[in-house]
Amino acid sequence: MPLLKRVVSPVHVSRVPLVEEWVTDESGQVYSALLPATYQPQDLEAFTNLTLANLITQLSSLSRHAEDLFGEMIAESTSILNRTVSLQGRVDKLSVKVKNLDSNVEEVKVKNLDSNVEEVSLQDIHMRKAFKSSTLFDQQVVSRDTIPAPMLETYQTCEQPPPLHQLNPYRDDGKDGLKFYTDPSYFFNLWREEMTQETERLKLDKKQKPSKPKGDGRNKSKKVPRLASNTRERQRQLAIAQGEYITPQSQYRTPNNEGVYDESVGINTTDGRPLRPNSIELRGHYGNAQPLEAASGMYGSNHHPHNYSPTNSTTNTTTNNNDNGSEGGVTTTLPQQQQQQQQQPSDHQSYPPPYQDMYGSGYPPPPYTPDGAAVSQSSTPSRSSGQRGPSGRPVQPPPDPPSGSGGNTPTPPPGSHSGTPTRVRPPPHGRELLPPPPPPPAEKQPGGLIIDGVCGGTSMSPGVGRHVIMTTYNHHHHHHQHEPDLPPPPPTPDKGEPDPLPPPSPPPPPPIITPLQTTGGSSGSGGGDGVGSGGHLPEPPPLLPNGNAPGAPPPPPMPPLLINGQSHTVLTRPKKKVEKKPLPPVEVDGRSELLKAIREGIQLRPRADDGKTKPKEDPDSIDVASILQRRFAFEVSDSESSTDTESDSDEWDETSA
Amino acid sequence: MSARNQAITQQIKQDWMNREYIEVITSNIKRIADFLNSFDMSCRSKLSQLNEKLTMLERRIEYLEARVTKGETLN
Repeated sequence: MPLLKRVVSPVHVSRVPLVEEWVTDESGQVYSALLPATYQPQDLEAFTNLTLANLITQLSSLSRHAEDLFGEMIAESTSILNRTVSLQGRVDKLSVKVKNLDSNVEEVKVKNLDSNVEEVSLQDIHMRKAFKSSTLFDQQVVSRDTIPAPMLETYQTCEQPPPLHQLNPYRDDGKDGLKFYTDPSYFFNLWREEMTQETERLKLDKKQKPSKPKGDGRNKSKKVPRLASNTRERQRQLAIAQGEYITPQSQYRTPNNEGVYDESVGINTTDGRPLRPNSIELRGHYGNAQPLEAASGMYGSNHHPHNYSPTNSTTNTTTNNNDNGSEGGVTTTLPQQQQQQQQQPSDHQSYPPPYQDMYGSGYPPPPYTPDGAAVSQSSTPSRSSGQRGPSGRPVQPPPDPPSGSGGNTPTPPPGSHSGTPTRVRPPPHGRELLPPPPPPPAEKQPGGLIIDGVCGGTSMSPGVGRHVIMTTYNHHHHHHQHEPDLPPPPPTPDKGEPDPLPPPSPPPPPPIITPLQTTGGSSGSGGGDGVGSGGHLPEPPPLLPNGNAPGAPPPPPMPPLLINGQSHTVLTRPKKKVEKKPLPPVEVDGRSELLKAIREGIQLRPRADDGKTKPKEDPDSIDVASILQRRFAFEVSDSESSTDTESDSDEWDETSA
Repeated sequence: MSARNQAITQQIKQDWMNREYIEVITSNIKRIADFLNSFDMSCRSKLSQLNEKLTMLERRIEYLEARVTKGETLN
């Protein structure tokens, strides 16, 4: 039955209207009754007159409704006009601001990079807190308050429900007696219950997921690992067909490929293996698609064995756990860098990241959101700087000499470069272009250097040229991580790792320092590994290529293990690698998952409480937006994981194909 | 009889004319109502589209403003 908004009053024009009159009963009782306003007309002319009179009434009613209708539209259009005017004003202000920013940029360009201050100011834009929209979502759109006036009039003509609520004091169950007669909020409660149950179910699923390794935890991840393995096999076969050495690649690729080293690795192979093109593409996709997974899974397996000594790894892991939370589970310092890099790519990728930030701020799911990443980054720098800075620096010196021998590539200190490239990562394209040069240096570098070559090779490939590109890139595209990127460029020219560290500190101390420290730490770790592994020159290059290729398959922890095993057989370092590699992946997964679970648990609990308490406590004042937000957050988080895995797999398939 | 019959037929004719007149009025009232309804509907749809676009623009502007203004939201 359609609800009529406006009813033109006399529906039956030719009928004598009924009028409520007071009637006196035979017993003398007075009551109201509807009686015909007039006597039924007895001749045709009277009937005509009656009909015409009713028509006039109809017309008046119609005109009244028309006036009401136009009034509504005028009010609505007026509000839109006001909004448009205010919006126009905001746009004008914004354009002025943007113009000022543009002028600043031009000034910066004119100053030829000397205007770091200006750049910083520009980058400050990217350093502020996550954007949180202040727009309010309409709630209770269909309610008594929003009922249109004409319908409200109709509604008010309805009889009131019997005053059953007056009997509430006599009810034992404490229920509202009126609700048994009529319950306006019934359907909303039904919907709310459904929503809350859905969110709880999702919550449970999520909680279960964290317990399992990341790859397994996600429903779709199961599929992904298989796909990844397939892709790896395909790549291996392709590589074999091309006559390349696959074994080393497989080892390194598994975890690290995704993050920082993909491109560099591909290039770093030094053998000049062309295989990378596929891997590069995959890397690029990876960086975009699955920053988190890659970070968690990849870091442990690839880098730990090579770069980090056990002590470093332990310290790093602790720091990471604190800083990164779910993702940071990986023990190595590299993971942080990788995470940053991965996060950067996400930020860089067009605008989605900002929105994610928005969501993250607004919604519970943050674990994956950029906000969390940003926070972790900011926090990490300070902590990491203290711990990592020193360790990394001592180690770094060794790499420099090799770099010098290496020629152009060597000049950029491996450690610093590695750090920068990792950061730079987000702009994979530039790296892809750059990669070829770095490999030669890696090859040239001696055993001790080799390690550097591994780290530095990756870093090197991005090397000086990359740094420049990266810096430019960063200015334009990077948000939070750009600052770190900026400082690195200077270091690259300096060749000295220490240099990069000091410069960053001055401007925006915390953020810049962190990136630098991370880079330094990574380089330092790399150097340390190099020292430890020293003799194993050949290994590093393979590692890089492997890292690149594996980067694509990142999803499952399992493949890395296999790869590790293979790598052990092939590589001279097998001992360290075997011990570290197998452990790190497991540790990483477990830790990352634990962290994830802890974080999620902390974050989810309040949500769950809200969801449970709100409906029960305030049935009437329920926040539709909050419910939807909660649910949306869950869905987003799930979709992110699922989409990531799916997209990765797809990309891989495409690349492999 | 003839005169009475003629009067009756005259009344009936007049009644039919009145009915036709009334019918014209009612049909025009219906047309007015139809026009008002269609006008209301089209206006509402266009206003809602405008409102939607405005809301979208407002959100974008808000985001852009938040991105461009550094002092207020800067860490």
